[in-house]
Amino acid sequence: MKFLSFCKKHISDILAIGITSAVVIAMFIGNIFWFPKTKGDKVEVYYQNKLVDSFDINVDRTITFCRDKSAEGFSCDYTDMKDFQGPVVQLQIKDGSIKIEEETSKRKLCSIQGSISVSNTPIICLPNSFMAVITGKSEAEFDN
Amino acid sequence: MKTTKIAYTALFTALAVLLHYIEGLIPVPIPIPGFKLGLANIVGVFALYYLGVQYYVVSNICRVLIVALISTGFGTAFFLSCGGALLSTIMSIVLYKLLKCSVYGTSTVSACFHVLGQILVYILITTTPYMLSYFPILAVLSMVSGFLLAILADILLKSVPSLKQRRGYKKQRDKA
Repeated sequence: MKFLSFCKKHISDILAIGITSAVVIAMFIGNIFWFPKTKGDKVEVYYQNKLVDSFDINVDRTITFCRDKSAEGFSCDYTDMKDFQGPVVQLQIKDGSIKIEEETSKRKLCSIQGSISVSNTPIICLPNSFMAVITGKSEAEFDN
Repeated sequence: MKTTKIAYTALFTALAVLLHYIEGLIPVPIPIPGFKLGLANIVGVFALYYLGVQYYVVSNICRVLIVALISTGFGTAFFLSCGGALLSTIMSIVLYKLLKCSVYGTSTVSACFHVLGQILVYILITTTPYMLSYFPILAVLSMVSGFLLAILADILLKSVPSLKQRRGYKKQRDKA
């Protein structure tokens, strides 16, 4: 009885939370189809929403992106990334996975995301306007 | 708007800005881009139930502007903040006014819509849909944190005397 009266009293809360939860669960299921987690074959790097370059996922390497040419102690592969909070962002491709190896921004928001080895799950560094994502041949519809 | 309520709105806005700053000092416990505890939302929800809709809207607008002015600037973070605040504010008002939800329903659902607003703005800015893949996990985490914050807001609402009660105390004190 207590439970029933509780439910009656909070019916709008239960409905609101229930409907929202159902939508989120549906999105969970939808994600499996919209963003299939497959083993990709290349890494795409975006800066300011523009594709900088794409790299072979099977070739291990570390790519250094610099704010300007004056990044001391680093040999820059790409420069003039003015939005960077710090001098460099280093992307490591190793054993079919990617991770931000070095990052000089204050809160390390990019490197705490760890390494990613499946497609369609990006590493997003919003303060640096930088994004790296593994893509595969089957996910061509998401390519810009 | 009444003077007392305006004063409270200013106080709550300052408190929300302070909580936003404190939250920035706490290391992010979960490595998901965009995840935050949303401590400032306690103040928002409290303002909605304590002061009313218009004061809640003013407090939210002021908070977003002040945080941008003193901390994040008017760049991408500001637009994300605007998107999240806009959608969560609209949803809170709908839940509070139309569905007559309690602080639990409002806080939990509006936290989810805050995330949705931010993700939609992010997709508009970057024109890439990838961030949408984080939505379900971010939504679940934000709903859990929204519910936990609602417990705190509920405790505050029950323990802090309402404005009517405060006026009653003042009248009694003046008579004495």
